[in-house]
Amino acid sequence: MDIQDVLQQRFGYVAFRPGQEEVIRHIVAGRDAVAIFPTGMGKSLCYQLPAYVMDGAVVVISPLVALMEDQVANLRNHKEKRIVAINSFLSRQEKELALNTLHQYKFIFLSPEMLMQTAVQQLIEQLNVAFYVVDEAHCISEWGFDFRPDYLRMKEIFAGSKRAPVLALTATASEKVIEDITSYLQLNQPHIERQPIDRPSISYRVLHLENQLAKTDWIIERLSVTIGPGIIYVASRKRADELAAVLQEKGIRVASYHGGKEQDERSIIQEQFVQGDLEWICATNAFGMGIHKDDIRQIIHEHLPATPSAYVQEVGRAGRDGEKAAATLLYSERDIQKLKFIVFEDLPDEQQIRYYHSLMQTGVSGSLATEQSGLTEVAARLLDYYFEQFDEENVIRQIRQIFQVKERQIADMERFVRSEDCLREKLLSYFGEKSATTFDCCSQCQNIADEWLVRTTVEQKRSTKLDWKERLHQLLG
Amino acid sequence: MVFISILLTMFQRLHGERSAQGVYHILRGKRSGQTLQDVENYQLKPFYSLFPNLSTDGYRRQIERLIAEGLIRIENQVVYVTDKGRKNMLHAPWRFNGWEYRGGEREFVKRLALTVQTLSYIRTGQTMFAPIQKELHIQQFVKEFLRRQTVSVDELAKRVHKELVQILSEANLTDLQRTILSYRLTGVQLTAYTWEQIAEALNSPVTSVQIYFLESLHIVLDFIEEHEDMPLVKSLAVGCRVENYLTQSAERSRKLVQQGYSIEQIASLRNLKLSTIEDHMVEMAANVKTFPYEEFVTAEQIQKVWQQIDRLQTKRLRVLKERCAELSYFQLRLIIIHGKRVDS
Ligand SMILES: [Zn+2]
Repeated sequence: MDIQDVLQQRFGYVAFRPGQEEVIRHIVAGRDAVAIFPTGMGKSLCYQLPAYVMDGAVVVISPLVALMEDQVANLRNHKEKRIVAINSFLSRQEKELALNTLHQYKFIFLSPEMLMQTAVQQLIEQLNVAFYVVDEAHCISEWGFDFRPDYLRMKEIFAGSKRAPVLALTATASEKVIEDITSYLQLNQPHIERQPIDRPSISYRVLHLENQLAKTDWIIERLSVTIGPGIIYVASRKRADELAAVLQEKGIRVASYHGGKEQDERSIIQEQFVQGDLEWICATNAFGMGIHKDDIRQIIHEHLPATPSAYVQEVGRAGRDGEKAAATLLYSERDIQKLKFIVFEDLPDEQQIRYYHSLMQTGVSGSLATEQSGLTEVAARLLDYYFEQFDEENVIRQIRQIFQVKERQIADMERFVRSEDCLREKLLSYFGEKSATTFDCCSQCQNIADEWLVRTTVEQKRSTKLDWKERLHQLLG
Repeated sequence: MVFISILLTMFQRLHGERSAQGVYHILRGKRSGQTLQDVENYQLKPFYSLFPNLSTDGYRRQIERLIAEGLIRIENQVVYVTDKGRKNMLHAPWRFNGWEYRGGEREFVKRLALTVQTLSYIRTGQTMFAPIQKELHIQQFVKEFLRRQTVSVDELAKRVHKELVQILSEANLTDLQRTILSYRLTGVQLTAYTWEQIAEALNSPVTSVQIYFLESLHIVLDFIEEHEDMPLVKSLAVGCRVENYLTQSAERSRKLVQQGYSIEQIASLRNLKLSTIEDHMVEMAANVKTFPYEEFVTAEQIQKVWQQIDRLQTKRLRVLKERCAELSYFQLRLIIIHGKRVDS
């Protein structure tokens, strides 16, 4: 079947969105490809569609269980039943069942840890694989903003000369990250499809404030006079809870969201936000992936994100409906120091590396060595990976390089918040893009028209009368 | 406050014979011989495995608070409830049933929540919605449950509604518990409340709300177990009760006992220490109604030990061992579990 027909019959679209067709044609022709599509711009279709014009299974490697589930749900909505997702959340029996019936599936989703298991690899080798997909491929690069040592191990998997094509997907990637993706995944002259990350409907503001207290005051004032729905990104779980409590006191419909909350609570908060019961979320960077809400009007950062990519991705959650949205970054002098502390906490220094290595050589268990050399879990996994292939001096050199990369990314963010020229241009320049926006641009261009943001309705107080019989009646009729 | 009341109740039942750590293991549902024996000996089964995720730190803070407020005192690691502590236990008797559910109650309420949400959406013609339960096995269970039904969605929603009203009305719940339960359910334009939101609306601390919720699940499940006229909700509760009380290893020992092996033979067959097999026997005695006590102790021995227990008002093994030196610790443990009554 022609890809145009599949697009209409299976997915119900009349036309491709920019870039999709190019990626799909290359994959179908058996070539490797890298697709850089901003979130919400139709990245998934790039692998879903070719599955229906090619023989064999599509193996998708996805780093986050939440993302995996999102993709699975998405395919099911398109009446696809031949899907299996194998991750560490499955019980042993569920996993065995899935692996024993692997050949029945069209789409096989795997977490990186699963792919690394020899037994899983052997099963996959026996399959007829149409092509591989590496989702969130920027995770493979130390230059990316959420580098995952697990991903690095994929290097070996794609080494063979006669393997099926690989499609690497990511929302943001600088030139350096694309180089890493190409070399680590052993891509063979990949087609690179990049969609612009600029979102003209979003206007940017950077505000310099004295300290956290001033930020809190500003946020309270802002939320009382402007509209939501919106997300306030903060630096820590503790701060998310704290700020949400302060805002609740002011009668704002807000909740905090972070990885420290139990799964049921997170689902409820997400759903309340999507349904409009909550107008604001105070969140760590754990919030946002896999959330389908098109009418987010504001993103406020109370802290400084670690990289331009992270910032672009978080801000990009606003205004998916194409209507206007406002991004505000609140900055105070000490934020750079705080950010450096958080970022470098996960990076071992030379002394720690040597000590960890000596402990490991004396046969101390991994967790004990991690603890004794004062490393974080992330840092230890990173070191384990490097020590498998380098000697001590080279590991130290590698880590020093990562350190420099992160320092540069933080410097990029510092230049962004201190910029006296157009903020949008500055941000886009990190991705090799130019701005074409001439109005409603940014606080430096001083051409923002904010009338649409002004709140005109008075917040109704939520009724607190609780009646269980009435509620059951409303739920079930 | 509510959590403290649970701790005081438990320490009181242990009346000065166990350390704070013992209670921690019970609340976490540890499956070791000692913990299993404690819940049996001191009537603590209702509290077993109530908080599988209780952290050492969180628990330690509660203990420190109890001491600071003079509600308990600790001597030689053993916890005693003070007079002030006893006066603070005014809470009505707890109606947990942790022993039977051990976390299965959470499975039940997840299934219920997803079932109600699905019915709420589908009966209003909406087939696309974000499931409030993300776990795959919960989704599969509910899908399978719905597939088995033969009536229309409208009718099914009506029946589930009727059963829920019946259960909430007739089971021995407080109004507070009925409210909490209903506000953890989600449907069209009616999303569940978070713990914090319920706590605020009820003007009660979050932990209290969570504990009353947990208790209400046990009460509801006990109610469902005893009644036959609520087939739909009953089938959502399938498998939430513990069916096999033994640990896997004890279960293997049990099978060998059944085949007539002695405990020494089992130890050598399984290449385990004799004391481990003895632990398995104790675990079996606590859980299997037909345990063959006569193979290990005589009726006279049982009587003798229980006379001592009654006279000394203690079940501490070391004390009993001093009085009955001819018995092993293993035999003493079995006799305590056996109880006073001896069939002739
Ligand atoms: Zn500008």
